[in-house]
Formats: sequence, C-alpha cells, structure tokens
Amino acid sequence: MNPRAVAAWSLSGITIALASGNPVYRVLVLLCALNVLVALRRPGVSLRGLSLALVVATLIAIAVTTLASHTGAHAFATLPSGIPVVGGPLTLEAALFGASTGIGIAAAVFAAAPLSLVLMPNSLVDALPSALARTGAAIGTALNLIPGIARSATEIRDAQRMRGWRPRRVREWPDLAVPVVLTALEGSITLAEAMEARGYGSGARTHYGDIVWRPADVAVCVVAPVAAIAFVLLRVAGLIGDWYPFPEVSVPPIDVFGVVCCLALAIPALVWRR
Amino acid sequence: MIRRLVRVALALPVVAIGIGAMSSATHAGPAAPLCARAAFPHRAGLVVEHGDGQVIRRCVGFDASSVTALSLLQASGLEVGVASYGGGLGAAVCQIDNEPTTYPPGCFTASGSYWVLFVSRGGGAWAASTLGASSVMVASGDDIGFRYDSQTGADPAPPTPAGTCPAVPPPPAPTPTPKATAAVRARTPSSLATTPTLRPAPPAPATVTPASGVLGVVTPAATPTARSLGSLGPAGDGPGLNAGLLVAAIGAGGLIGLLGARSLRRRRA
Repeated sequence: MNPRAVAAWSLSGITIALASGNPVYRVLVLLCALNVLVALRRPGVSLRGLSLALVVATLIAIAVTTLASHTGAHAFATLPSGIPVVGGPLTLEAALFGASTGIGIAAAVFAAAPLSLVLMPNSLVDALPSALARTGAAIGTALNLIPGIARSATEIRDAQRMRGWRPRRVREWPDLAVPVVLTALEGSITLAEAMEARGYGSGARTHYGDIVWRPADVAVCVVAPVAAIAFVLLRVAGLIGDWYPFPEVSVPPIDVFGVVCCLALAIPALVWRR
Repeated sequence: MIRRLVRVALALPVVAIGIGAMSSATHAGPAAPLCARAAFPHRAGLVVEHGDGQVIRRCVGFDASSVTALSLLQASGLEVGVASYGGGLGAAVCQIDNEPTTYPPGCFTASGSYWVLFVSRGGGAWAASTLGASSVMVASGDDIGFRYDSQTGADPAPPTPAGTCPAVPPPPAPTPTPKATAAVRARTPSSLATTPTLRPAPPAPATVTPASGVLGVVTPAATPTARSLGSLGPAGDGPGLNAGLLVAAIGAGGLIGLLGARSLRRRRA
C-alpha cells in the first residue's frame, strides 16, 4: 500500500462524509471505511476501542440534539417547559437528526483511521513531501505527547502503589504529578537528542527505500479523489442535497451518481491485500 | 453465518423497494374542500410570496381585537412549519406552504433562504418586521407578508397587500347551519382547497367559537397568481421506485456482506 494513496483515499472519504448531511451517503462512506479497515489494518490492531468511542459519540449526539431541539411532528415525550434549554417536546425527528450527525462524525473518523491503523507512523512521515518532512515529524511528535504522558502516568501510579502510596487527599497528588512532569521533561530531552543524532534538521530526509506506485495504488489514488470531486460537483450543482427530518421525518433524497461516488470508496478493500 | 449475511445483503434491496414505493406514495396527498368565511368582526390580509415568485393571498378573520402574525398565518390554512426557541425567544417560521421542503432543527441554514416577515399597518406600505412572527401583533385592517428570500442582498417586499381583504358586507345575525363543522375544519392544514372559492361562505353560527381568537379564513376575490392548494405535493412525484435508494441498498448490502466475509476470514486465519 502506498501511503500517499492511503492519504488520498482518506481525504476523499472525509470530503464525501462531510460534504452532505444526507445520512445515506454517510452510511455508505462508513461501510466503505469499515471494509478498508477490516481488510487492511495492521496485525494486532483492534477496532474495538475506536468503534466503542464512536458509538458513544453518536449516542451523545442523539441525546444532545433530542434534548436541545424541540422541532418536529412526532413528539414521544415532553419535558416541563420551565427547564431551560431542554424543556419542551422531545421529537423523533430531532433524534434522527442527531443520529445522522453522529453517523457523519463516525464516517469521517473511520475514513481518517487508516492513516494510523493501516499505515506505520514512519511510512506516513516518509510519504510527506520533503518540504513538509520536518513539519510532519514535529506534528507527529506533538501528537504522541499526550499518549506518552498518559502511559508514563499509569506506570508511575502503579509503581507508587507498589510502594504503598494510597492517595486520600488532593495534597497527596503531587506524589504522582511531580514524577510525571519530570519524566515527561526527561523524555523530551531524550527525544531531542535522538532526533539530533539521526540528523534531524541537517538536510533532506532520507529513506531506506523509495515509495513504489503499483497499479492498485494508482487505481486508488485516481478513483477515490475523482469520486470525491464528482460528489462535490454534484453537491454544488444541487443534485445532492442535505437532509433534514424537520418538520416531519422523510426518506432522504438519494441521487444514483452520489451513491456511485460513495461506493467507489470501497476500491482499496477490493484491490489492496495485506 | 455467511448465509445470514447473504440474507441481509439480499433483504436490503427488497426493503429499499418497499420504502421507496411508500415514500413516493405519501407525496400524493388528498385535496380537501376550502371553507371560505367572512363572518368575523376583524380581518387581516396575508400575502405569501414563494421563492419562485408565486403569490398566495389570504384574508383571515379573527374574533379578538388583535392576534399574533403567527396565529394569523396558522389560521390561514396554509401549511406552516415552526421552530420554537422556548422562553421569551418565541418561535420562528421555518416553512410555509411546504417551502422549503425540509429545514434544520434551528430553522435557518447558514446560507440558504428564509421567510422574511413584512407588516403593513392599516393599508400602508410594507415594512420589514423587527420582531418575530410570534411577537408581531396584527389588528383589523393590517396585513402581513412573508417572502422567501436569500440571506444575502436586500429584502424586497412582497406584492402590495391591496385587495387581499376585499370589502365584505357585514355578517348577518349568526344562525346555526350545517356548515358550522366545515367552518371550524378550515383552520387545519388538512382541509386545503383544490380550487379557491371566491364567494363568501354563509355566516358562522354563534355556537362555534374555538378557544383561539382566530376563527376562519376568507379567500380574496382577486387571486390570479394564487397557487392551487390541492397540488402542494412535489411535482411529478408519482408512485414508483426510488432508483437511488435501490442502488444505495444494493451497495450497502454488498458492503455489509463483504465486511462479514472479511471478518470471518480474518477470525479463522
């Protein structure tokens, strides 16, 4: 798999998922992305955590929209109108709009997920244009900062507990916070020395091997962006519209060409093999 | 397991055909007769100009000395979609006569068109309202106008309200008649007209007095450009199969089947 082709596919998927509020297109993008992830994810990588997080995000979107929006013809419950913001009728239409929003978020996240779940981080940085290599490395390091600190905090907490540390008051938390901060600083210095030892900033980034473009990579890199561009053009032309369930829930308008554009995103699952 | 996935993949297009046929069928709504009435002490005009330039005029009679513009609009018999913001913020008019077809929960889109409210006091010129439809009070002889206009540029006023409420002879003393039931039904959107009735209907009986101050609808005599309310459904949307939905369902079925097959293969490997 060519990382640039994967990036082009992800960008195309995100574009289609966010270009229209129509849940049908979003579901199709979601299914395509799931197919790509299941077929091509790295060995040992689980989708369970990400899937669970997105289910929770969708449920939150449904709950927030249902409680905050009181428009719609089919009310299934009514909260006292005296309650600020959430008071009023709770409607089926609002719940469906929240579900559509949640599906859109899930589709976009799943479309971006191959960048981290299919590709290795170093191959992604390698795939960046040479002008962006330093920026990419810096961004990658920054993105790893929070997970690194979280891992460090867990290890230090476990170590402190083994020494009998049982925090009961807030003033005892510095026993954990101070070592975490010091470890993070030490890790930063180590990382900087490691990057300098590897010649970071001394010239153009070098690679062990060139990025190879196979026919399947070319197919993905052509088909997915063309589908995204066609989808956006259809959207601009008015053939693909948003879907709002208000005032009364209705079947979303679906354009055949829009569906074809979405289905074209399944191409990596068909032409790539891991 | 594979059989179950194949069944799901095959069932989706069938479900799509059913949904598509039902959705097409629901667009063809029945038309009901219009009940025109003029037997009210107060009347105000309503002018609705659609985005395509079509104009609907209504003369709405009401019992109270003044009513809100929203009440007047809802009593006109036109289809109205409203979003309530709760508290003192009132409500917004999102949809009139099925335009736009749908709208977001907050009523307004970021860049789309919306219904601009105009008010004419006592036969004067239109003035864009600084208040929402649920806050603007309308008295006898006033007119309200709604124009579907884009958020950018100027907001031209709808056509003049002159003639919307033609002079109608004062109603005779109320006597109960069999038309009373139909008169009350005129307030609901489900009883819209196939063709506007230009004659004032018989007077209202005293026994029919809804709690609301707005009691009925009068169609003006001169409505040459009025939209036929019996044809409110989307044009050319007869019963049939939604091809897009069918293709989407087949595609989704295929993707689900592929997903299941890959998951099984990965689990066995």
